[in-house]
Amino acid sequence: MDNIEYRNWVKEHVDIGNELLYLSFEDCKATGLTVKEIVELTEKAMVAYSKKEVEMPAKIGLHPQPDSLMHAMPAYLPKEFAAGIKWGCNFPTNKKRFPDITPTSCQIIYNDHESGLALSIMDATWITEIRTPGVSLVAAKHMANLDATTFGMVGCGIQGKSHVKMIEIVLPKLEKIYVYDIYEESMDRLIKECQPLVNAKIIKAKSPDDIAKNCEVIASAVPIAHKPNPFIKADLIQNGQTIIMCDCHSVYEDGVYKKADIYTVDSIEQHKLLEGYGYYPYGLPEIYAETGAIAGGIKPGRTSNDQLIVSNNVGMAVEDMMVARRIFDLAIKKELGIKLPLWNKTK
Amino acid sequence: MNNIEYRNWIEGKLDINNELLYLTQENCRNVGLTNDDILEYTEKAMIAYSAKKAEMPAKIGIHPLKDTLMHAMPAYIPEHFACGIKWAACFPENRKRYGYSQTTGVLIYNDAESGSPLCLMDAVYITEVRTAAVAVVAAQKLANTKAKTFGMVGCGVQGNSHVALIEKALPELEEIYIIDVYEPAMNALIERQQPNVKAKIIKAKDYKEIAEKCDVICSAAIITQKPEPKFKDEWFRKGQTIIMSDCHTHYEDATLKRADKYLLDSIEQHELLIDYGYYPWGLPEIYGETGEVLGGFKAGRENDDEFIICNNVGMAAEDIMVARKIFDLALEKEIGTVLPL
Repeated sequence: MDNIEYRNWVKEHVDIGNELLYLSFEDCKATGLTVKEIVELTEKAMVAYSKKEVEMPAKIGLHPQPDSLMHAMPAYLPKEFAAGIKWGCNFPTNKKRFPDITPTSCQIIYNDHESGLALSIMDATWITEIRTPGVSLVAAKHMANLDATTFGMVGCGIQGKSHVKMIEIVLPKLEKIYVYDIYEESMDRLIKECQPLVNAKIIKAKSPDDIAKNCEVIASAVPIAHKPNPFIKADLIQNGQTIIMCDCHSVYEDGVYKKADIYTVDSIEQHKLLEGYGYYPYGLPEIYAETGAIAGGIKPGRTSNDQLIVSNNVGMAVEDMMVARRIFDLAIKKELGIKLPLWNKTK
Repeated sequence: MNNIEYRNWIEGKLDINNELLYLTQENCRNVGLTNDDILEYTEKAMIAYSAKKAEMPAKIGIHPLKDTLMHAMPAYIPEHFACGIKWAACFPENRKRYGYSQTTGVLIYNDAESGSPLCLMDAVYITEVRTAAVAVVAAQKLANTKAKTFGMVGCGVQGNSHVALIEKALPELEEIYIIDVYEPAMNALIERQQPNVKAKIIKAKDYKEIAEKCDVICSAAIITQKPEPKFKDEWFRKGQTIIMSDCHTHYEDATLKRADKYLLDSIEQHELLIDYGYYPWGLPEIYGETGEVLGGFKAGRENDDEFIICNNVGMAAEDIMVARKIFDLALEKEIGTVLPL
């Protein structure tokens, strides 16, 4: 379908300019989009970004509570005719102040790229939950030793759980998954929730060092501290390991990044900005390539079993918009959601 | 109300984190927002911004088609617990291609305490009223408020809103001169706004007549990438006040540079516009931000002779403050649709 055909198809289902489709968290899940498909779409978006086929300004944000963030993440993917914005919030303070409210809540406004009109407003909490580990999986697929039998997860929150549930898609030979969190009960909850869903045995690590010493591939997703307070020492990390982060430089000592044979980021522009904001007080190491450039075959990924590879991915709006289009299309086909008038009274 | 009391008040009407309120454009227009509310909330936002009591990063955007833009405009005003984002689109060809208005947008209003979304609302109405409100509150402090004559350049949606509100700042107006490149727009403005204002609305013969006859002049036309001056510098005199909602589009550089006071709503935003090429001759020396004058941190007009120019591009803080008022009114009056999150 070209852009006009796509628009006409959409118009058969949604009266563009007069109504929009609202999709709740449950509606998004009900589209039946699989985790595997989301990972594929995430990869496609990362490659398109690194090939400079998309428009995506660096995100801006608000910080209403300590260490909280609300990020405005617009993106346009011309080849997919997908334009819109994710408004993503993370309030770690909710844990104490509002235990019933998850720290993360996100919405996407998905637009008609021909007129700018809103087509859909959808929950993006679910998309974020899946596509964030999806990014790590894409990194692992192209940079980890795929025969790895051990995986480590630092941080056992929502993202930690999703990582553990999904990782065997790219590392099918895993035997042991070590997990670590500063809260014991978070580890217990992860094991209870994830063990039935994975083949590997999930083991509670005694310490972060335990993970560093035992795991070939390690992912981390802890709350991002504005000033890193690393708790894994550089000398514990060895050649051959693959380190993937969703939390910038929060977990490891600076030496880990500096001694890596390959260090990638998902978006050079975004991480340079973070450097400017003070998130990398010791500076970024030399960047080998963008993660999407490796996924797209523009640069080689792992070429030997001895390389120490570090991949630092903060997540990008293009991934959200790529998945949003698919969810919107599926929702239309399956007649999910509620149609809302744009102009007229709802009651 | 403090932040917790406000949140509890909301929670009494909306199950935060399980529900959100949806407001269409018509809902927004019918919540009972008064002109005084619009001016009050817009002014509060401008003062908070200039007092550095608002968080508002410079807007970012995407550009799906040539000459189109979609802007992400988040803002948080802690004093008023107002937090959220406007996602606004401007597609100039929309009317011709699809019959849609060129400016559209959606706003998400959030709970500043937990980040949960509280309300999704159409943002067309907010944009329409708050842009004119910025000019009107600026006029209250910068214009000679005894002015008898007002000029309006541009008779679109924004021009209409300016004319409808201007007597709030200039209650002694006798004549309002209007001009637009498109004659039917002038006729339509007169038909729509004459019943709302006491002053007589007159179609200006040309730009010269506006410059020579009007004590206060506002403009809200399409911003061109480079200024295309319609007003000759020699037509202006001391004591006049020029307020723009469309950058330097209509004025010669000499006029801008000889103002006794030149103000901007956001120095940061306008400096970015320099980088984008909107001010090829640079910005004049800046006296201060409009919000600094509104908040009393700097003097506004100090005598009848000052020639004052005020250039406002609009800010997310204003949208989010007006959104708060709309949301509060909608909750009170049970307007809108409650959706499951």
